[in-house]
Amino acid sequence: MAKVIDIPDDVLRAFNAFAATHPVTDTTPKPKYLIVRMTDDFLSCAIDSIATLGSTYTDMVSQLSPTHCRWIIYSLDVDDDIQVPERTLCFMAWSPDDAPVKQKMLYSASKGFFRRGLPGGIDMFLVQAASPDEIALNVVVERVIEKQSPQQ
Amino acid sequence: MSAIRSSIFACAPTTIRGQSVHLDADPKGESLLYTNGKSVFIRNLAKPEVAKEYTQHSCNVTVAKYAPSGYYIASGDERGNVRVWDTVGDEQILKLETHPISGRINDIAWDGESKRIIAVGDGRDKFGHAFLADSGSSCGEIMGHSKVINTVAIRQTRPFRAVTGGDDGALVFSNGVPFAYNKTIQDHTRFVQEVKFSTNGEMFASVGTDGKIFLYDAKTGDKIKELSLGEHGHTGSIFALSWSPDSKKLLTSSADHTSKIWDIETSSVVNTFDLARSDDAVASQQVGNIWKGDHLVSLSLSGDLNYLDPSTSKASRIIQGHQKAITAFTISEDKKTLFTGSYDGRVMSWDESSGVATPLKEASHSNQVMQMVSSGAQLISAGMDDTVRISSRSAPNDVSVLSTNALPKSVSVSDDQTVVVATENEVQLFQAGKKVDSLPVGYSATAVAINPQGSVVAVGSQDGKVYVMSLQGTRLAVVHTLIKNKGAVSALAFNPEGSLVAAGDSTGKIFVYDVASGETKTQQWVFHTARVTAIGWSPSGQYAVSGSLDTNVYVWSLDKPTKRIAITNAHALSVSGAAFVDEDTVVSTGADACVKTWKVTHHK
Repeated sequence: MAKVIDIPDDVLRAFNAFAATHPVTDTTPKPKYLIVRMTDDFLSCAIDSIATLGSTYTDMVSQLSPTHCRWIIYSLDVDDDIQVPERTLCFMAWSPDDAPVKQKMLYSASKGFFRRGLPGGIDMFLVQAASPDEIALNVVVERVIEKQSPQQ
Repeated sequence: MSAIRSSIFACAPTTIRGQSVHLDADPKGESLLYTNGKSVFIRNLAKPEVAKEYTQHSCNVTVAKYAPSGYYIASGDERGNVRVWDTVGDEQILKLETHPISGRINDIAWDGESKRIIAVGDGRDKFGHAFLADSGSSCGEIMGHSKVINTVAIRQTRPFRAVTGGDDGALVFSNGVPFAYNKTIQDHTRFVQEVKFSTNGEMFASVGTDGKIFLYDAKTGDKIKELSLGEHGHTGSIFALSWSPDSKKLLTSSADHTSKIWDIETSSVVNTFDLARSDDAVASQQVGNIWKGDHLVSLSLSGDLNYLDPSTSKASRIIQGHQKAITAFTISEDKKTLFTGSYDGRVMSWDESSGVATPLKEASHSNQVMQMVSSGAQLISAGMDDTVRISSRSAPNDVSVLSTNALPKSVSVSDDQTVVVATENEVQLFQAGKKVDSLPVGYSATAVAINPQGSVVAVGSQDGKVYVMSLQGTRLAVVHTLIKNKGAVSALAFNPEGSLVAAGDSTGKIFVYDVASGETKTQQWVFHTARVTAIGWSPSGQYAVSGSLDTNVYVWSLDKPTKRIAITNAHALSVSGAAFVDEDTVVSTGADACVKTWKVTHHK
């Protein structure tokens, strides 16, 4: 059973600001990602950081700590990798090997509720990563393409 | 941010005692074609340091032959697969893959139009098959042998004829096309090793284990004469023959350690090349040869390619290399010489710029070389023969052989030439060629490294821990235990300053630790998928290179830990060594017995 947590308005607003816009008609530049953490009591969540304009996938990866879990919503697009045919929202569950076990379990148990709490959140492409090699851009892109292209 | 291969210092051809090696050269006579392991090598005859490789076979390749057009190569392997592939461009596009016989392919021949191929060898229902190079459909039958076929040749001009020779001592003469049995020629008394048609297509010659050479008419298959009746012939099995470009002479290579040039007209020996090496008689048996243009090359069982000079009857040049997987690798302090040790214990030194290899007899072991390191003029190697050999490049005869009493897993040396060796349950210290201390450890040691200053020793263990110890005099005392690695620690390397240690493990992850504080400096170097076999730092300490069992080489940056340069499939089977020559050049070695140099454009 998913653990119920609060999703504060500012998280929702930040998500809507770049994720819930039309990918074709709305062409104003938007930040690429949003990093969310759970509050210390694990009852709510908060914005950890929002990408500034022009920051890249590498910037996002370098912000991840090897000892703390995070949720990342990343807008994968052609500017990341030309192989991506269309904009894909990715929900990344960063759960490093060296994070405390309690944290890993609570992040894992709550992520379903958190995604459902976001408009269209359940349609996001799920990436689970425990070490940097699992969250490398080429690995993620490969999986996204596999999902999008029709089955052989 | 990329890496481009700048050279391959190729391995030597694979040889098997008692079997002929069918070498080939491209039609222009520029490059030599041979096989080793799962790879085919195309090596420039005039500049042997220039080579190309083909690595698409899934098991050991036994023979490769150029089409007379020069545009295709057909290569056959141990399981009876033949692949025909494009030689133009770097893509090496596959034209045909076929499975003509069920066993080992021993030889392949093309017809003069580059359209038909005959592949022969071992098989259950037949020993050879003739097929079209573009479709693989049959164009004849190879019949009449009762044992394995060793060799095949096709007349290059019409009317086509084909000859095969095998372990039953018979030559089978076939008419073509389609190839069909004409007659059996039973002149050899033992195995036939090689047959070849003359360049002008008038004759063919055969050689065999009985030491005889026969000449036949190419159109009818009638015997002309036995060449070996003349004086000064071979005294052992003859493994190979090649015709001169003018079809007037014949080059033969034999197990009696010699190669000979014969004059066809007078049946006499023109030149005898004595290629015996005093140290190893068996290794100097001659098992293959090629005569193309001005190049006469004879192959020793040891894999040495002897360039023969008819004017002096001596080898003008000997090209050497490893035949077996390279298992240990290091670079001299001046970065101009590379040292490699192989699975069979052979140690070689390579000139970094010219790629010329010289065997180092004094450093060689009787069994697999585990690891090698160098410091100053000293080369230190640890081998599976339970010894550590310390040899000096300035005085080659001054070798100290130190017994470790157990299998040395790993060896390392500091700038002041303190040598540390890790065995299963001991760390041993050597100074000035003597064992000064051995410290029993309560864990299974798998890797060891000493910092260049000689003050800190790191020991990796089977359970993934790295023990950092301080070294005062001959005393070792544990300072930190580093516990990030999850698998057995398989590679350890201190940066040039001695302040950081990189530890690679059997799960493919590399962690960099600060030696003084014991803290983890970076844990982003985790992209290998199998055991890390080697780690090398750049001279500045800014970059590191690692090689792994997953066949990949990665170049890492300390400043930009999330960026990395991947060299995928650097060596077939596995990478065994990797090191920086200078800030932008990386050298790697692998189980394919090759040494490769890469130019690196660094992380942006």
